[in-house]
Amino acid sequence: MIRTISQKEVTSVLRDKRFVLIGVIVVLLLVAAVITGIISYKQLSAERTIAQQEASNDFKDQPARHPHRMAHYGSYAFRPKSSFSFFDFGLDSYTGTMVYLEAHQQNSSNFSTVQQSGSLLRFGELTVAFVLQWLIPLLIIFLSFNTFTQEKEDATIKNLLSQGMTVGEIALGKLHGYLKVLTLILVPALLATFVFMFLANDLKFNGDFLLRLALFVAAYSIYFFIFLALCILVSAFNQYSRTALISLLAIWIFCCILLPKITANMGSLLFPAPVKAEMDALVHHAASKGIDGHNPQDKRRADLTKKLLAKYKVDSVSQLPVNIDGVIMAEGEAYSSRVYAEEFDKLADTFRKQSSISEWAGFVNPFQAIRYISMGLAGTDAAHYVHFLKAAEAYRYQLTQHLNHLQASKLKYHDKDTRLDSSHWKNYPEFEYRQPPVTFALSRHWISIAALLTWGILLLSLFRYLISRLFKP
Amino acid sequence: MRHRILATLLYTEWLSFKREKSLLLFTLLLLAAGFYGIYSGHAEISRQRTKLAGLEQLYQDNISEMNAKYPDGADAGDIGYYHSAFARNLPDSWAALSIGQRDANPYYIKLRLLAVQNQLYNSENTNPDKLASGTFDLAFVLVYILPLFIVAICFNIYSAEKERGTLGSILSQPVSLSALLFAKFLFRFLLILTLVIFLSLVGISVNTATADSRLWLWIGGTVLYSLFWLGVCYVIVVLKKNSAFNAVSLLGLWLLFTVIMPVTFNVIIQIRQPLSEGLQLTLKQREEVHAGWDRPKEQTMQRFFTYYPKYRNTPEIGARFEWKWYYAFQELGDRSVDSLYKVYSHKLKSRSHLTSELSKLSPPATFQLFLNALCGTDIRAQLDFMESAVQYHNKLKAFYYPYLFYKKPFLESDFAFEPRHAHQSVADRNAIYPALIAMLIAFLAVLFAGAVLQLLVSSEIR
Amino acid sequence: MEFVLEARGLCKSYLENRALKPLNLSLQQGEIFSLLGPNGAGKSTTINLFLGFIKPSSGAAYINGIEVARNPVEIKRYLAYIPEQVVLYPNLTGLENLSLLSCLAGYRYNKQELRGLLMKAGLQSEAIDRYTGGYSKGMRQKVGIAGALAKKAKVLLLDEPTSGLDPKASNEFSVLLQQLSEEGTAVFMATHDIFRAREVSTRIGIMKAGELVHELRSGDMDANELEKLYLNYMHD
Repeated sequence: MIRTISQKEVTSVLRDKRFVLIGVIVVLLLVAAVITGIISYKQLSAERTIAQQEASNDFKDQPARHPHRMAHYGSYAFRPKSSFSFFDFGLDSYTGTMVYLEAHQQNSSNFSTVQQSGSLLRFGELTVAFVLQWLIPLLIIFLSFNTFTQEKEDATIKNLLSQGMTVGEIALGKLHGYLKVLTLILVPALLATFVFMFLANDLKFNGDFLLRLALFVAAYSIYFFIFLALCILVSAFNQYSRTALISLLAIWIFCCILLPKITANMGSLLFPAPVKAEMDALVHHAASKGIDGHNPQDKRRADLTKKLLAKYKVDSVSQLPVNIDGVIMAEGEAYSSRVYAEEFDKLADTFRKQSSISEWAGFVNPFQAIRYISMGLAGTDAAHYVHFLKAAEAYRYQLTQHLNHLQASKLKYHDKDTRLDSSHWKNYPEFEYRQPPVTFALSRHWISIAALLTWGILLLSLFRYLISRLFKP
Repeated sequence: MRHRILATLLYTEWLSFKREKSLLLFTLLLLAAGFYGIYSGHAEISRQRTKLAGLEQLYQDNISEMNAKYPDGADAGDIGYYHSAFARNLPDSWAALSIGQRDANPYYIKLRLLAVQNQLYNSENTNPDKLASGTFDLAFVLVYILPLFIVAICFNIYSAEKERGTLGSILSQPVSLSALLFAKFLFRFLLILTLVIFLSLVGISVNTATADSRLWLWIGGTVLYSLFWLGVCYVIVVLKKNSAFNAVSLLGLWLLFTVIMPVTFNVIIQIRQPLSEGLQLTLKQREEVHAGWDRPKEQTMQRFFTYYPKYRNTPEIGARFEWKWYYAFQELGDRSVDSLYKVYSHKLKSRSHLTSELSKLSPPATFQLFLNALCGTDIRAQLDFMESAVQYHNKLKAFYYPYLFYKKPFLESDFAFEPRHAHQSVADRNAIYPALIAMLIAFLAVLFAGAVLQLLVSSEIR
Repeated sequence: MEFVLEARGLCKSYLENRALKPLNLSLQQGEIFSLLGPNGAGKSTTINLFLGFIKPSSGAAYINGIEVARNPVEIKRYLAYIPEQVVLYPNLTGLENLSLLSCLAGYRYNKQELRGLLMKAGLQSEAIDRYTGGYSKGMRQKVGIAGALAKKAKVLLLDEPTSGLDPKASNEFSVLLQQLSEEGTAVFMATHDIFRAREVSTRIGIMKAGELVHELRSGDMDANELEKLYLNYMHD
């Protein structure tokens, strides 16, 4: 019986020219999204790889220099595009792409796309995720809003019911049929997408990539199921196709446009973040209580000097076996970096709290749940951005300390003239950013995952019950 | 006779509106969204104002620190290195109504006497997730939600009467279908006009925005934009299809104009005008500045003096390190990337030009540009601010260089004479009128399309 | 004597399908004409042509001597129309609906006058200020009749007025029509109800496949004979 209903739905949908038209449009948009995704990925990837290479080579090719000059010369960290990012640009256009790494200070990451674009970017971006998150739910609505109401308007529902079928069985049949239709449209489209990707890109077919792909497909399948089940429920609840359609469109507008903005705004109003100047002042203030590498008047420097003099049992700093300039600089860098790391963690935590409101909203709005899961899997969410910033800062710290240690061990006290030969920088490892494994993404978005699963499981297990409760003849 | 019929029809619409729960609900939702937009825009700009005001404290703290560090007067070189001043981009009094790009761009720049090109592009602590979700300001309500409201109250203007069966009763009176549709659209237009003016006035008074000529431009632009959407509804309504068809096609058109078109234009801009000059400029500037350490001092100073001949007769550099030499090669570093900087700003401007040209095809994008331009929050306002920050840095140099070159000690009292900076964002008048004209053309185009369709579609009522 | 409703070679076809074959018909003041015929015979098409809702393929319809197709708005001053399902604005009261209709027709009545018209049309006084969303078909019809009274219609067009009415309401309705007819209104109605048609009409027409196949005076035969005649036509 259920199979018969399912077959009937598939047949009648495929005979509907309007639906076929909309289906074709969505698939075309999907293909357009893949192509632009690949173009933009290649363009930005190349731009950043070249710039990173240039910056790294500049550092390596420096002639003999005083190590502290090298510390000020510094290096750059460019954020590579995640190979999954053309599925979902996520926040990539809103995050900086480049950090200048130098001694004594932590710089912001600059040159984000949003800062270099006009207001058009704020309308959204054409990506696979955009089509899947926004447009497929609309397609599902157009597909199924009148699935029950049409039968009520034509009174065919009475025929079915008088054959001894329950409303629950009819609904299951419909659900089955529409899932089949969606599969019919999406599977070829997605397969084509994958083929396109593999042809256009030299992607690594490693386990992590395949796992991301599998999770991506699974998460979106649940998302589509949720929307489809909701549509059928709304259609069962309404008496007229008109009202069912309007209610579903209202739900779509609320879920995909209004709520995400509202929760994001609430987040930033509830958990205000300090501006960079305030944070810098705080770090400076806290660090200046410790040792400031450039500040010989600092009393902590005297303490350290005293300690070193006592340790090596000598009377003056020039008799020390190590160069105290380098030691002091290294201590200062360690102290200020620790202070900065604390402040940065607080800031990252504030951002996490701001976004947590939107993540929790996933329990009300499946769109917001899939949004975070998708960005996480693509490696384009805030957590991955923070991960990059921390990697850049870690590299900056190691580089600076390496140079400070060179100064401490190879140069004499107050020696400003000796230059260390270029081999010291030539062999220093370049900045190479490694994207964290998929488990990183999953652990950062457990709220959204829980929300999506809750939706899916609740709807799956309660579907028949809800249908029979909500159904209005 | 005719105006009496119109009055009767309008009165009936009013009675129906009062008693139709869904219409009332939509109106309340629009008002609620509008109030929230006003509140949240106000909160965002107030936060920016508070932070901007707070910079003064940071500035004063820094001066106290300098004074404590150099109690007997300082070498201006040390001050230039350790002391920082702020270039501030003060929001226009209208900014809260349309935040535009103000949330994405830094609204102050911390400046030291060092090379400015290394400081100009520093970004602010902003949550990228929040930026991607966008602001919920009054402009958002008008650009996105107002069309949905218009669609919601207009999509079944004809089809509802037909489906309910009331159309026959009305049209068996001496009233033409055109008169009936006109009255219905007129009523909705008046309703929209009232709501839009009310929300705008509330927004303007909550933010104590200066009620200058922009009040009329704001309301005029909003009315034109509403008219465009009423026109779109008219195009669909005259096809005389059923309610479901109307709802789907109007939402489709909304999606096309408000989402698909801007999104596509954005792709075109990113691909046609890639922008890597920022990265190149930064890399090159670092090379130039650091090369300064190795170049012969005399050569550096001679190059510097070509720009500042008045310092030519100051004492030569004798020591291993002198601040004036240090700042000279910082400035030369800036000057070496001057052409790249010009290319970069030019490209940003031409991007913004292409943006407004493409946007003309999408009234929502044009309207957003219009509102941002009106409130001084568009990319142009940001570029103006950056330009003014560079000018400020020049003033700082002009202030500090005499201390360096004439070996004047920098005293505590000298801070009082340090130039200060506050840039006031202003409306981008050049962008306002083209946007208005684009919206007017769009409105006339849909009106024309609707009129043609009305002629083509059979006038029979079945 | 002038005709208030007249069809001269009135004809309507959709592509190949002739919905109405040339029709010649004229009604004088006070006449009641009933058009009998099965579904799809062209009765509603005829009414829609008189209303100007659709345009004739050839020939013309006249209301009060004015050609309908050329003056679709003007002729509506002289006619009133009551569709099969009289639909009023459900969230307006009976009084407000009547006020709307009469205002559109160009008449200004005060509440008392409107109330009087509704009472004259037979609407119970307690129903007058209720929303019409809760009205029965008979009650809605009475508002429609009141509308006709309000605009002093010369012609009343009715589409299946008695279908779905209970016998009492149906009878009340017939009485109302006769009253209107006595006041000079010409009534043209499409109906399936042979018995009522015979009772209330002055003239009766039988329509089949877009053609007026028979016309008679209602005094010519009784209801049973009329039914026989009707069935005869239908069986051909």
